[in-house]
Amino acid sequence: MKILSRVAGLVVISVFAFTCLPALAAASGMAHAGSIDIQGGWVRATPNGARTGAAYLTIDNQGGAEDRLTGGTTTAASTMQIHEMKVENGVMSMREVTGGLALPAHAKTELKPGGYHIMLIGLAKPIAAGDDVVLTLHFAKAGDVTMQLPAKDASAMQTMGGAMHMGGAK
Amino acid sequence: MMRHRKLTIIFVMGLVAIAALAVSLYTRMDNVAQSRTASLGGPFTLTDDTGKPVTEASLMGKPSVIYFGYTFCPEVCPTTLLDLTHLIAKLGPDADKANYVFVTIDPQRDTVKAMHDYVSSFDKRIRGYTGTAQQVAQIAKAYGVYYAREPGGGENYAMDHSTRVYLMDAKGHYVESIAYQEPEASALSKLKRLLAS
Repeated sequence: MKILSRVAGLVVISVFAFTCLPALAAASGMAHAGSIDIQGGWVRATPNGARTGAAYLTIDNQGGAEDRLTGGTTTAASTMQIHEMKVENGVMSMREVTGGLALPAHAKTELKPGGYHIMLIGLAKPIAAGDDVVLTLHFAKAGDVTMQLPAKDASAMQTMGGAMHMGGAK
Repeated sequence: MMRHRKLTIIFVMGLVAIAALAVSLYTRMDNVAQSRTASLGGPFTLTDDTGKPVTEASLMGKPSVIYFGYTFCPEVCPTTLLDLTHLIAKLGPDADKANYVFVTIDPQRDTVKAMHDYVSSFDKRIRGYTGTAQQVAQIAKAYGVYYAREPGGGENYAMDHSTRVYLMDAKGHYVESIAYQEPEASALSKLKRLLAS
């Protein structure tokens, strides 16, 4: 009887761990694999009919050797690429980073608006604020990391007041 | 002692000369920039996102806020249009006194329907304009807008393009522009000034 209840308790704990913990991690935009720690991940909510999106995150290479982010896949789009964006003299330009993005040892590499980003090409549908987007990132050394990133509206002006949401009908 | 003073005088005179030269150069550059922007704007023929033909005459009688971009743009264009949506909301009912136009510089992919879908995510007063490659080239030239297809980009090519928002008066003359990520207070005061003109 005692053993039975103990087993039942274990089952309850395992079920909780397997169902609730990934759910808690879901919208966190965080992940870890080997020496790679990923924080602050998010995806930009997209306008209706948009065929591209962008994901941003900070990669902390805690290891003693350089790693590379070589690419990845996502359920939200047909293709994923690493891009670098610049605005120089009022002109925006964007180029694919070929050969992967170098992640120096013991350093944080930021993918953020105005710089590097993960470009999601061929969106299955527009990404609405509040959606979770699943990405699998390929690292040369750390291997594959699958994570969920929360989607949010991104106006440069931070006083949106939550009144407007992209991806929704108006 | 005498010699020392002489050297000092020569040194100060030199400094003054350099300063004067810098000021005159700066003023001249500023004049060039102004004379170049003063003539921005001009005739165009495009199609709006409802399929209706539009020309520069369609915007006359009201000041206009014009932005050039493309719907494949992952960051700068949605951010600018979201900012503009936010600014329009801040303007309140006065916002109706202007036209708001998003002109594509990627007509190959930005069809009338693509533009319509895209602008529907922002303030409903923002209209999308597209056209043939030649028509888009014409308006871009008139507004001094730079755009170019990413060299070597495949079917998912990116476009390089100017990021300014152009403010035009009710007669279609250039007034001033708002830079990408210009602080809200500055952008809002420019828009208010435009609406009051």
